[in-house]
Amino acid sequence: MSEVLFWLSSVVAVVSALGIVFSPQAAQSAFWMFAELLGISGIMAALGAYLLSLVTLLVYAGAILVLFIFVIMFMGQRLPIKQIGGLRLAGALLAAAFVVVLLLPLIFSPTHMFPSSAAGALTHTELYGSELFGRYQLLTQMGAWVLLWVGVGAFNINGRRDEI
Amino acid sequence: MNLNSVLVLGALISTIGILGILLRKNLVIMLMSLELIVLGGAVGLLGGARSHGALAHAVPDGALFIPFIFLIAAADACIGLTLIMTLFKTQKTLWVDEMDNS
Repeated sequence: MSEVLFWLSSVVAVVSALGIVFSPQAAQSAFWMFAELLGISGIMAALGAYLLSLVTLLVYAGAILVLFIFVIMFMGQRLPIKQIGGLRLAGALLAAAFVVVLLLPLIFSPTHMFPSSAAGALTHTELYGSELFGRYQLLTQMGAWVLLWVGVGAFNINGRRDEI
Repeated sequence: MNLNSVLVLGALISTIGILGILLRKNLVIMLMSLELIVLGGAVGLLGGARSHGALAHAVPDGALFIPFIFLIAAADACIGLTLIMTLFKTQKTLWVDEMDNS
């Protein structure tokens, strides 16, 4: 099962990486980037890192890719209207299929969505938390500081555009 | 799905990203190719972590450092997009060929 998922996701990842590089418009590249993130997330799930595959979708597709699409639309590089009209039905079908796939395990086996550990042992997510806030607590807090100062720096750069 | 295939896959994704930086002239696509390089590195690191055993009940350091890779990728996307927007305001273009630094 994970073998099939791995090879399927790796084909998706490589093809959509080529799509990012060779698509003519930046907006199309952003949509290929979404397919790329789905592929990477599938690879991580096939390798057994379930938390990381969810984090990839949440952080990349939820935050970084939305930032990219916002900037592209802000620059006025949008898809032609005719192209969007042709893609609308395909996008709706794809979204419906995605929701069905997400709901299937909830309907059929709500308790077996994620592999649970033996009694007494820590689960995957608990292990991540105990490592990140135990051995690597300093690194985690430094990462939080980096994100904070990135926000402050972005604000400063955009505020003083006359000096650049 | 042995270690070799995962490493080759990560290297392939990173190489496509380097190709994007070298071939494309659009700044946003170049930044997306940079993200591709980082993602390929993350896949390779996860393959290395997986080679020490199943990831379901243990977290090796290779898998543990991937959130930090994502953190750096988020930080460089944020700063890079800010710089691109600032450049776009002064240069009125996204294409690196048409920019002048006078």
